[in-house]
Amino acid sequence: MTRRSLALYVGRRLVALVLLVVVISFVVFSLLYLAPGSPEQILLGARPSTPETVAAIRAEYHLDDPFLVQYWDWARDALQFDFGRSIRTNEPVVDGIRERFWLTLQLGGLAFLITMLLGVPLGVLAALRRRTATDRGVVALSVVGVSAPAFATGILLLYVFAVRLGWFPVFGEGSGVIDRLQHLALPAIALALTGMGLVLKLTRTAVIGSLEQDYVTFARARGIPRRRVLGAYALRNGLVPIVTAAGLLLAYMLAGTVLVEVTFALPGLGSLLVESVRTLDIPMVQALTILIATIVVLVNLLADLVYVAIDPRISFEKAKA
Amino acid sequence: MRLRHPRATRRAARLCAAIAVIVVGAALATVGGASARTDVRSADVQHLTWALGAPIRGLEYTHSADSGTATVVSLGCETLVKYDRIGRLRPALATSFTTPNTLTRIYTIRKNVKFWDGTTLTPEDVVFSLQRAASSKAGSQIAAFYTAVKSIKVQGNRVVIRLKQPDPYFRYAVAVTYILQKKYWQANLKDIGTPQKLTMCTGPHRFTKFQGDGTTELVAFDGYWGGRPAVRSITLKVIVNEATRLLAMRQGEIDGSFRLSQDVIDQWKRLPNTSIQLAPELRTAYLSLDTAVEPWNDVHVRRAVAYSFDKAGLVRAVLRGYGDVAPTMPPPEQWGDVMPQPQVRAFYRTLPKYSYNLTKAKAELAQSGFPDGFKATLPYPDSEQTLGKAALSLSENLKKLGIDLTVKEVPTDAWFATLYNHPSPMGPQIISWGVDYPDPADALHFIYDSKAAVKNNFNTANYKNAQMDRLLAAQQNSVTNAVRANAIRRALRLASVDVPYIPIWYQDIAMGLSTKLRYRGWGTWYLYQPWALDISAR
Repeated sequence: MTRRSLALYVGRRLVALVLLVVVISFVVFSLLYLAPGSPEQILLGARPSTPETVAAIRAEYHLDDPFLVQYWDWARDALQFDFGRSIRTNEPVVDGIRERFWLTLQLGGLAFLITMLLGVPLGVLAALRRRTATDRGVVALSVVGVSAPAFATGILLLYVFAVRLGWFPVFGEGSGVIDRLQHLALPAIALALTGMGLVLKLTRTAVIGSLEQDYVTFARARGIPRRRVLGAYALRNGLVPIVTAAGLLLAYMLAGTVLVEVTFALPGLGSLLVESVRTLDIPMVQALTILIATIVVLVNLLADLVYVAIDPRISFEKAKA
Repeated sequence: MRLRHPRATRRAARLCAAIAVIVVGAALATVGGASARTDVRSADVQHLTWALGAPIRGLEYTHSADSGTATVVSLGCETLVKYDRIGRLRPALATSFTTPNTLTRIYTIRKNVKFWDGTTLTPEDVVFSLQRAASSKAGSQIAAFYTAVKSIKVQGNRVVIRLKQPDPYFRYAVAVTYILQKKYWQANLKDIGTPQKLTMCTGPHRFTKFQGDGTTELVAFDGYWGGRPAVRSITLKVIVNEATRLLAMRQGEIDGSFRLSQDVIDQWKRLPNTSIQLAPELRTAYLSLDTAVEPWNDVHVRRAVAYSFDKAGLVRAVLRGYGDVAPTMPPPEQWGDVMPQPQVRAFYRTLPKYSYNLTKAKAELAQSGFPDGFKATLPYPDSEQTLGKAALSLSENLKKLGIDLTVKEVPTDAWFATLYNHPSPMGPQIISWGVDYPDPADALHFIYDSKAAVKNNFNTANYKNAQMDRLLAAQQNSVTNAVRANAIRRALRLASVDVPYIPIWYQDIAMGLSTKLRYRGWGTWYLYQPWALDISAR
């Protein structure tokens, strides 16, 4: 793996990202355009209005322009990183996203950390105690975590830990480091439970597979300590699928937090996206989908780079995107 | 709703408190201890945390005209006049208002009212705010209330509004038009009301932070013309999930919330630290029947459906008793000062009842052109599950008449779009109507006027009756209560005979409040006034 091939590889992926963003922005714009209703109807609600008001609002947002003209108006500004103003709230789109981005990052990041810190060790434990009660118990728990919808586990966690035990606050995001951590603990756990099952099972399978390999038997025979066999040999060789899952999970946790946000009253990007789609707030939806697409691509790129770092058999010359 | 008496007493109390403090302070100073001027009253609420059930778009009402926004904006911004508990108009930023003739309204502006930045309110600020509200070109979402206005002008310390034609509802438009500082509005025309710019008003609490889907904060404005507010700071939190709101109240993390849904009121009542207050929401649920197409163009079909609605049962089961059967469209409390309440209720008792009676329903259907029944589809918006339940109940009952009514849930915004676009045929619709102001003709002139059977209007039944139009015009062109009441009564009676719409129920709203607090005089119109002024510590 040379520096040049690394640079080429990353460069290719970033070019692909730009193309992807263009395609997504066009598709999303078309979907919003085709959706029933239009922004001024939603703004006015069930309130009587004069034809002049309707016309004025439509003119303000260029809703009477032809489809491609509307798209080009948006795209031209977006290329200069001017994503316009939200139709719903009138604030600049970039400011609206920035206020919520940090919170979503913290929530997603914390949930991801919990998933990995619990999922991987538990998966290893299940693999080592294969077919015992421990194994079945851990796997069953993870299946429950994956199957239960996030808002249901959220409310349950709230009731047990926030109300009955009083260990955590019920809602909101808090301010200050300790306070924020206290407020995000339960939502992060609720979010983590859905992803943990996947990581756990993948780790279990990977470790079981590795433990059956000849080199592990040979390493044991040579007297290498158990922990090193587990870490350097069994786990490391099984890491590739785990990293894949981790990449997908991280992207999901940054983009798919809406149910947890609604349950715990957290003003994050997930509920912003849902509310913006519901009200046909085109500038905001466009910017958010581009942001999410970028996050997904960058996270996957990171995962691919990690593959190369952990598995010397994979190299950039041979690796496809 | 501020009466003179408490303010005078408060001023006297403040004077006594000041004297007492100076004496005590002097005493402490002589003793050598630090003399801190205490400014905390026993009825003070240091911090009020309130939960909102839905996110808010912005702090500037003409671009964000919905009840949620009004609830928040009213904490800090004021109107010329405000509603009392039963919807009569009272002075606010205007000390008096007169109508020398049917086309003129004069508001005398209160003196020495300060904005949060210390500048004084002038009639120019008032005129500017009213003109912004009236302007369709500026995209005002309440411009429709001002269509009759010819001019708004300053005359000394008064504002004179001239109308093009008589408009009995115009007086309510100023009750929902907030007065902002002209200078601030002009400097921030594009982005007033956003989290970056907030707003500049005269109310008892000043916005310091605004996040429409998260936390909004206000602090007390001690320069308020009505006196020092007892609530010293306010935090509003948006908690959309009902279960979370209930748990937050239980843990004492919030002090209260408005608009609890009927399903959770009983759970809130069981909380030990919470009290519940109820008020009529002035919201009517009704069924709209498209009289332009078959079979709904047959009055016997419409009456048959009316008799098939178990309204009383629905109020018990769906609203959990927090509401009433609706004999006609306007809730009784919506009559404001047009007719006194006892007369309203007496009149409602004389209207044809259409109580649940399948025998009568079958008899009506037999007289119609569709004695063997027919098929139809009734959509309802997913945000109004109570309407869905009512629709399903009706569908079950109609089966017994041989009518196959398919009930369909649709996304709310698509459903709104249908109502706005007024397709042909419109078909039956089930709708929940919240009143705009305390005048019974409010709903009438939207849904019964034949001119409103078009796009962007709400005569979804396509009801076109010349006599109804005449009655509506008669009440519109008069400002005399007796004349209007008479025309409205006749219009409502005609509507009960023709049944283009079937009113189902009136619903109540509930407020949950911490038992540590007292909220005096909460009523239907709380959302258009600085409601934090009515809250104090117990």
